[in-house]
Amino acid sequence: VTTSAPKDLATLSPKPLVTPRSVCAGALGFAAAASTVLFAFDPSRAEFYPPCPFHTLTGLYCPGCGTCRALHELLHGHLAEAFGLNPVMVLLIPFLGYMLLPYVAFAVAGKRVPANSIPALWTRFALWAILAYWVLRNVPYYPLDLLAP
Amino acid sequence: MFEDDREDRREERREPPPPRANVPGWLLPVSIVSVLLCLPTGIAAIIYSAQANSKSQAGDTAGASRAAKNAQIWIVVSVVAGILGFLVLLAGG
Repeated sequence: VTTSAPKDLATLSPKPLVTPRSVCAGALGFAAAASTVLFAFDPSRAEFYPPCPFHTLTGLYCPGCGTCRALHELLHGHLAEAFGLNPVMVLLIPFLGYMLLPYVAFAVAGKRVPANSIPALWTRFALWAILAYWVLRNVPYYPLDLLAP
Repeated sequence: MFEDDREDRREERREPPPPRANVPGWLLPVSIVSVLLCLPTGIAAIIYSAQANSKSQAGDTAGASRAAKNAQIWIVVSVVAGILGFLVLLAGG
């Protein structure tokens, strides 16, 4: 739906404000701003971070619970603490970086880089792993309670 | 001239490339990020992006495009719900 758009839009004049590149750049800028806030303010102490809606409603942990605190620890170089808060998120970071790198390159350099792709089997594995993680980190017994944030 | 002809014939003998569905590469990573940022509706986005990848690699172009569209819709739903929830919490807190 979107991959053929940049060429068409680039030939138009005047240049539209919302281009695929501006969307990529906006997302990158938002991520940079969010990282700065996360680095400066510890989510386990600051009060302005929104709580997880799922945890607020049900009292259970979702696959994302602990991400903000874990990213704060990661930004300060504390890998072990981050892993203790949300191990799956930490393990997924290299994969997310690999998949999103072409878009970062596009936002920065304005050059279209072919998207990275992974085998379909892996994507299905990621889905089931995250669903299993959702259940398992709510089991209150050792060693599964290590998965809770 | 002759070079071109030979090139053409070689082109014919080559197998036709499999149909490529339009599945943007950012769908799956962005879906996963939305789940990791405490947006449980992102699970639906992951389901559809995984489906889009599977169908695209199985050659089901139409199905892959449909799944990719659904994934995009769920990503937008997650982001909008996240922003609304944040605003509600700001107003209530």
